[in-house]
Amino acid sequence: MSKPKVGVFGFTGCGGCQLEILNLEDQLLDLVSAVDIVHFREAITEYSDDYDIALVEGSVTTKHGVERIEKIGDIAKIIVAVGACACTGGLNCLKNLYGLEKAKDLVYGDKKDWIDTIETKPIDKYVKVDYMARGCPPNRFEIVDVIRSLILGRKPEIPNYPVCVECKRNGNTCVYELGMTCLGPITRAGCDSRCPNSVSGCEGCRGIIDNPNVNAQKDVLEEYGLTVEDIMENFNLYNACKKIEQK
Amino acid sequence: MQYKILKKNKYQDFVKGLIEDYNFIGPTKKDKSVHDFVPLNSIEELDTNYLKTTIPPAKKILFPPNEKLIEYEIGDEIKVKPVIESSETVLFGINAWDINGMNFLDKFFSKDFVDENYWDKRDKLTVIGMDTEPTENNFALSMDTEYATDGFDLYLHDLGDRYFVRVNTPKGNELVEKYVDFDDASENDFKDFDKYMDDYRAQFSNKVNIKSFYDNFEMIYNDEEFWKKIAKNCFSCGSCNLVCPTCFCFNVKDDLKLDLKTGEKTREWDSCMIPEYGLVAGGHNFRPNKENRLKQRYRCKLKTYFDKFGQYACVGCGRCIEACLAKINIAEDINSVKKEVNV
Amino acid sequence: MTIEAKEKEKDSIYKPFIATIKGIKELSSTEKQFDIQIDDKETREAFNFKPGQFVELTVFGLGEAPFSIPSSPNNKDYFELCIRNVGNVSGALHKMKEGDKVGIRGPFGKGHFPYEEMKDNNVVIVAGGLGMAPVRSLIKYVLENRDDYKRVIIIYGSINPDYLLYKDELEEWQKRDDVEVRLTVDEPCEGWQGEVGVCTNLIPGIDCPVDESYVVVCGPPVMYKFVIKELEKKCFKPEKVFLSLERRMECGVGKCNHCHIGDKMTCVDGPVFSLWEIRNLKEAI
Repeated sequence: MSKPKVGVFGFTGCGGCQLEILNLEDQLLDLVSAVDIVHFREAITEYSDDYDIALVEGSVTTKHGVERIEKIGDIAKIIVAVGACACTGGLNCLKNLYGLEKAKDLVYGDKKDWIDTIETKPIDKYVKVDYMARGCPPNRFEIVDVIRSLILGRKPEIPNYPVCVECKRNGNTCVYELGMTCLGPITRAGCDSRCPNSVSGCEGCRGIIDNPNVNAQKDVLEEYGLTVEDIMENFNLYNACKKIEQK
Repeated sequence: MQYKILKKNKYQDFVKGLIEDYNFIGPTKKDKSVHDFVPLNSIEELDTNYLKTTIPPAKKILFPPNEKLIEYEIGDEIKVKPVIESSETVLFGINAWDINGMNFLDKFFSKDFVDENYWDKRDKLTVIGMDTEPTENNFALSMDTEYATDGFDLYLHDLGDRYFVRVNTPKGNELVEKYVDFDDASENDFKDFDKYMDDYRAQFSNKVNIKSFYDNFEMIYNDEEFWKKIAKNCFSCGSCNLVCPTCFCFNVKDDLKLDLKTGEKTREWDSCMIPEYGLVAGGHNFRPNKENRLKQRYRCKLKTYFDKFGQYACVGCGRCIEACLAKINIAEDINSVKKEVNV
Repeated sequence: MTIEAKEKEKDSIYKPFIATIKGIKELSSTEKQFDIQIDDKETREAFNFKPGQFVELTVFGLGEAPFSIPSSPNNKDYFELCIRNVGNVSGALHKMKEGDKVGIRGPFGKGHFPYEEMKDNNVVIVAGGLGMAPVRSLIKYVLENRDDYKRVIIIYGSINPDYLLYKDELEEWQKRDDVEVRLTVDEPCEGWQGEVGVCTNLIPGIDCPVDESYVVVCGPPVMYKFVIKELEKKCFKPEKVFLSLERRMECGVGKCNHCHIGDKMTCVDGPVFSLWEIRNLKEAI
């Protein structure tokens, strides 16, 4: 079996997802021996348009970005969206809440015409995404699992249960008990309950599970003295694109 | 059973001896209102006067949340090796209902097939029990688990100026003889202990009508509206399962490393409340509704294992009630089954 | 803290033994038959299964899944599996070739088809689709000991003729005068000579005395409700009707709990249950 060729591509975002791959440290050598990395701007100088698997981070926010993602869609056999921006639009989607023109005004003032910007979208709005390694930052072990699964020809096991499962496995005290709020009960697990582990509430960076009990979440938050605005703000941080869609 | 007295001034030396000689796991303060059972190196860290622990101590040690079951190596042939890891451990300060929860797991992990990953650890565990204050949600008294008759080596009851000690096993007796002098319990000590237990039992305010649940449950079983109401706010988050001292569901994962040569199978706690629980390859889900899952959970807790072992798979610790953000309350639900029958 | 890692070769109920794929045969466009031989001779000889039991099969790196054994228990050298390509494990198996290694645990299931009890009785088999796999083991056994049983009636339905499994054997059985085979499909092709429709339709036509008859049923989850209704109409005795149920049998040894039905576990108490047991099991059907 020849080694699959992998390209790592960045769109709008902080670039931290690519760093997470580099942070694999002791598994990095195994990774590069299992696949050929042919394109990875944060790591290698070479670049190539010949790849089987594209790992894509960041959301699409420019016309140029649309062209690039569509080209990747033409070349890659398998596309893996890596990180919150690529999977759900992420933080960049907050821009959409203002409306494009107002956002441009606010940020660039009278120079706004110089800027090529469009409404933020996750990459699956432009190309078919085969798998998602969610989160901000994504769980690097999950990225490895996706790549390994692709080599073995199986479906990666991305949890569809809430963060609470992992949080309890880790023996955490519920952050609600400590007087904080948490989107854990409706957010997709797979992060090993990273935020509650360090005593802070989940912000929903991995997106919402398939069948969330959103009404119950509202009931719970209200009971803990929070308004609907608080709730929406929490949701918006990573899930603004989804929210706008639902309107 | 032997009955001994440990004087308060000898308690410290006794515990220090244990910490010195064993892998010693005991309760220590974790945050605001919660304690956690962790390996302790000094008596200063030990705080047996606790109210809540998130994860039941015995389950955490004997059936950890993630546990390697086998390792394998793929070469010219495939080599498979079971992984069974354990060490001599003292579990100190576990209360009666958690001991009873462990007794349930003991039965469960020996039924039909003996689970060596559990039993190897269990055989090397020395259990020293102590009473703790029940929370307002605790209904152990109704479940007959506020007092342990088996499953421990020593049980220390704090009579104020001395400990009334029940010695249940030869292993427990060795510890009694090893560090400090214990006295034999006198008639007076027994009388004081009896009074102590009366007072202790009076602290359990939450009561459930479990006796009539057994048959009434079958009557209410098909009442969809009843179960929909109870499960309305369920997040299907599994918290109730994961904090339960008797829940034993797990998933097995096969992890082949990136070298594609070595791998392992591990098990991790699963929950019968999450939607994928009943999903089979091919896509059919045998329990897709949250009310059905909750109903099955109650059956498992309060009926199935009563038939099999004569012990409920619920010890009334109240952890699931406290862990549930949707305020699903097993104690209230047991009682409301009774009420529903009387309507 | 000292951790003693011990090798307890025989004690872990989760350790599979290694087996080799000796042969692969296509049964339909989605099912393949695998002949599995356990490598270790001693283990192979000790591997005695009963019709209706199942094994847990590991494809290393992909996971483990339960499969019932469709071959005859009299075949000691190897056993067969009939596997539909639907999941991670079955998908990987379909890509494997002869000589490849897999892991096997089992055989599992206290609930199997009561082939001993059935002796001197009529045997009625009702199978739908992939449900032929578990009952084939019983059919094989019964035909190998044909004199011990009275009439043998096989009712087998599938979506279309292509999806019928073990076509050559079906043909062979049809030719015998001591086996009554009735085939039915939802979508017949040209030249189809069997019945059209679901296999439930053929139950009213069963004409053997219920006192001396055992019925065995296996098929997709949706089939059972209708089959049971028809069998009850014919007044078959619930303690003589046996159904093989599918659930998520992940560990096979009654520990992981995924296959719970009411108060029973499919993997240890089943996967074959009598209709009498099933009536007392909530949500079984």
